[in-house]
Amino acid sequence: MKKVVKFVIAVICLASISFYFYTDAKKSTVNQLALENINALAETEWNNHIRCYGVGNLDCNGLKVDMIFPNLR
Amino acid sequence: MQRYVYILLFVSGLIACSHSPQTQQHATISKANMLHGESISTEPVFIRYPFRVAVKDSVAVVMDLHCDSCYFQAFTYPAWKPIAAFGKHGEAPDEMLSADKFQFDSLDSIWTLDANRMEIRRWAIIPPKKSVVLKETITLDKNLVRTLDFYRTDSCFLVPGYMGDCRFLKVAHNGIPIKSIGKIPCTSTHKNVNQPALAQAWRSFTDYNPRNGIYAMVTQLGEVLEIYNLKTNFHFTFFGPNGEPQFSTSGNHAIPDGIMGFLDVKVTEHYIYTIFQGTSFKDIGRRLQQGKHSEDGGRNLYIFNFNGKLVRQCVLDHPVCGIDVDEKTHTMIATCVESNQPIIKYKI
Repeated sequence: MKKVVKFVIAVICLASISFYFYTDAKKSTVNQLALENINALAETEWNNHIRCYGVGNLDCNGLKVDMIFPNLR
Repeated sequence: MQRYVYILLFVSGLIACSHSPQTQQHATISKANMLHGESISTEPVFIRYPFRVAVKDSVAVVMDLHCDSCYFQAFTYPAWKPIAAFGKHGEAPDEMLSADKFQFDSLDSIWTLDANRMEIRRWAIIPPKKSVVLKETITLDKNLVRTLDFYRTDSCFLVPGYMGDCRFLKVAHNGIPIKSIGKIPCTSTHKNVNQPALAQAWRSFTDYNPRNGIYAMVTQLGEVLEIYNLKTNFHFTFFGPNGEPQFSTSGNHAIPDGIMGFLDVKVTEHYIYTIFQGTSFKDIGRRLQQGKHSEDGGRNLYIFNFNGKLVRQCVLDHPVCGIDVDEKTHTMIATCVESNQPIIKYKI
């Protein structure tokens, strides 16, 4: 019985740690994917640091845009 | 052995808990009622990106953020018949490089802000002649660097700080700053990032009511409402469930992360009306990758009292950007970017 309890506790620990690292990795992958695909998007304007994309209401270098990305060039 | 198991359990519990965001929250209302609006056409006038609207007596003015020709269009109200367009887009001295905000006080006092030129202009609308005349231009001091919002009072302009060294400033009517007030109520680890980037991330929309002295600021990113009573110098800051603006930095620039927050704020005699979006930048980015369009505008109307308590919450049937509220007639006029009929009228 004691062995079963220990086994269950160990599984819970492993699951929670795995979940943490899985979601963190997923977040990084999404960000990385987004950044990589930015090159494929037609950007409106960029400077040394940022790129402004689309038509929206975010202020970006004097433009009003949909998204702002770091400049990877 | 058992001791180690408990230690492992405790540590893993801490790791799992550290993943959830920690924010102060305002009390939310469980009931959010749906509001259905009446769409209004502005034909034959085409408004590409109706971002702001204001109504005064029998005239309405709409600001087009991405105009083809003129940033502003005046209409009769409530018939919405065109009177005249003004604020021509262009690089000539009398033209505008951008339109960021306007304030409609009376027919001879429509104040417009051009952040790219750093100019505030006053215009007069003459409905019988169907014309609009430029009355004066005020150049804002270079030390302000960039002003994205304003409110003109009888004694000064109230403008949010762009450099991060204060929250907002009082600027004399000649464009010279006279007083810096407050600081960015940042509570997170962003405290150590450079101040201009912090201020960009905390870019806020503002409104002021001179009758009660309430100056409200809502963040474009995150979910923060700040209330300053300029008559009593009282100040509240409230963090919604989405917390303060999330961002990363690149040089002196802020790269938005987290969510798109508030889109507009209106301070009336009794309440603070706000439009909230809440879309995450992850979703916007994901949709961009898929070549899909993300909805511009917010569907949430949050109404706060002057103590920052959320007193009413409504879900709108259209995503809207700018609002004007008439409490006497229980009417809210809103702009909608996503519709061919850019004006929506709500009974609130």
